[in-house]
Amino acid sequence: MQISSTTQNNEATLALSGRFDFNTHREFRSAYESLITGGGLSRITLNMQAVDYLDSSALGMLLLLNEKATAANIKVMISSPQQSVRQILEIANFNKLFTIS
Amino acid sequence: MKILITDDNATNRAILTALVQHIGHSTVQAGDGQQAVEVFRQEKPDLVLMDITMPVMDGLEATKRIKAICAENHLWTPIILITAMDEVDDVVKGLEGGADDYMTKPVNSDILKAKILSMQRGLEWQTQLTSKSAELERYHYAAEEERRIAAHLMRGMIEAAGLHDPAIEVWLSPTEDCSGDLVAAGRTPGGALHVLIADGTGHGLAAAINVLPLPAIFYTMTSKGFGIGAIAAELNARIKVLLPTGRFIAATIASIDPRQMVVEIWNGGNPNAWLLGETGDVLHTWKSAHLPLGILPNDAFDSTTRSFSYSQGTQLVMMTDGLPEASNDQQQMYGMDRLLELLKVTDPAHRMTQLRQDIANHLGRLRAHDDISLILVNTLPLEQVEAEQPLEKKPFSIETKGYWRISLHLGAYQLKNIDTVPFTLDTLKRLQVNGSHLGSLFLIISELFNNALDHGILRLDSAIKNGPDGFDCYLEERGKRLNNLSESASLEIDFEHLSTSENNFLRIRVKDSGEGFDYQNVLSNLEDAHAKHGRGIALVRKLTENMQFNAQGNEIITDYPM
Repeated sequence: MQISSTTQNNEATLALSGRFDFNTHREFRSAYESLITGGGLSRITLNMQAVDYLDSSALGMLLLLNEKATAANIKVMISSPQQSVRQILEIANFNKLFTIS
Repeated sequence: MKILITDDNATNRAILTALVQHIGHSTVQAGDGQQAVEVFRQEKPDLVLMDITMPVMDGLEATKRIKAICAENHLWTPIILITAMDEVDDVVKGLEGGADDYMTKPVNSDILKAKILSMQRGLEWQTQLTSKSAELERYHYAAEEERRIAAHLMRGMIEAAGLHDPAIEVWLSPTEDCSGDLVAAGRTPGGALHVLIADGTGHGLAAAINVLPLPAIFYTMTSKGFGIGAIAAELNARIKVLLPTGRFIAATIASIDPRQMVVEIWNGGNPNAWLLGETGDVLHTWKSAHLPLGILPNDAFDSTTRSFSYSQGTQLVMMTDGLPEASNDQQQMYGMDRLLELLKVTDPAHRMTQLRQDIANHLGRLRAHDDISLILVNTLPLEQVEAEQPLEKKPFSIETKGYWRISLHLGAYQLKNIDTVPFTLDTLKRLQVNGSHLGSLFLIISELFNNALDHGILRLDSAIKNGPDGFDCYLEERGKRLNNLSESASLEIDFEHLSTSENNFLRIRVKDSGEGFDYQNVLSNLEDAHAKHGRGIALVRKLTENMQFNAQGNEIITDYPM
């Protein structure tokens, strides 16, 4: 998976692409940890437009991110997932934890 | 290193020995091929210098034999052939026979030194590799052993009588020894069938450990008669405490009640569950309505279930995502559409076999990448369930003795917050009321309690239950009214154990704070076998004796013979 990070004012965007699965663990964590420890953010948006697969360990990573972010008063949002990815998020009812747009 | 020098010519042997010792290695010697094999066995040298043309056994044959010994002992001992200039063909044969290198005579000391050094490096590599691979083998063995034990434990926990229920067909196909999927099934004392199908994050041992806490809670609560909403909440609470953030369990919990003819489901994170009619048409779909277990804290957990009333022979289909997501070598998933289509065209009795075959065909030579679990539950008619789990009293060993009486007074807060029936049943059990009575008592207490609360206090009309989604509407309305319950509402339940010279019986009294109702009318309607409502009271009358109402109709007393 490829992750690119952009920050504007106090909002950061992580653009993800490719397969979001267990092998992505370290990459994904280091991407969001540096954002959270950097401080001054109020929102992290995960742009999932280019993610073509997402498994249950990726859902677990989203939960971890959410826990860390919430503790730092940062809101996590998920934007533009493809249909197949959106469906996985829906079955897991992650819309009850994240704003998905 | 210890080096074996093989040459039939004593002068050559002496020269080679001197050269090798000069480089700093020790030597052993052999005068022909046969001797070389013998010395090799005894001395186990690290490297062999081998002349080709020798009496008794030549160097080519000796090379083959020594290499055979090496192979047997999982060793690699390099052999360098020492050849004359005109022995090109023999060199080729020797290398083909297992020799590692060759040198031509007369032997040049610098080249010999370089070749020995190169072999030495190879040997060092070999030693490291052997110890690493031995370590790896030990590690592999330990891991295998752990997995074996875990798999055994898992089977023990899953192997519960409930899964042998005649209504159920189960297919559990783990990708490894241990499955992150879990299925469990059991009947409540009242005969409702509870079924759990769960999928822990990941697969293999780690996922299996995740789901381990589930069966004990599920079976205990089911046997005590708790509803599936309460079971889901308890499972969530335990999993939330036990598992680290990021680990969770998708689960579907179903209750199939042959008395009410209602299927009730809580689905958090699993694929759709379907209720199929006799011709395979989908009567109802339960989408995942909740987050998986282990994510939300208790106060945010939603235990709302969805119900559907059926009126014919139906089959409930529940699965984990390994089934629709099983992918073939073209990365095509099996998919929900193909699954539904197959279920539709196959008669209920052959659906499991056909489906397994169709998935095997889809996967071809591949294995599924995730655990696959599927449960089919036939909604058996009540008569069959009762035949399997009779409510009639059986001979018993221990029986409650003497006179005792318990009185419960439940105020508005208790009525809102306490699961009264399992609580009462548990108390009776502690008073040594024989296990064979608990099924009947569960039904009687449930009916009397629910009548008193739903109709007596909450004034709910059973007619709301009509229609396939009626049960959900009913429960929703019940929830609303319970929430707004007046502080003065109360309900009394008494149990009195009485004996006469002929028999023992349990006198049950239930009184509510409601206005009461026209019990005469209700009782006369009981004779009508086709009445949609009042089945509960009819059942109580069948199981008990001397049923009486007070004049107001808000108190009922009846005797259960023991």
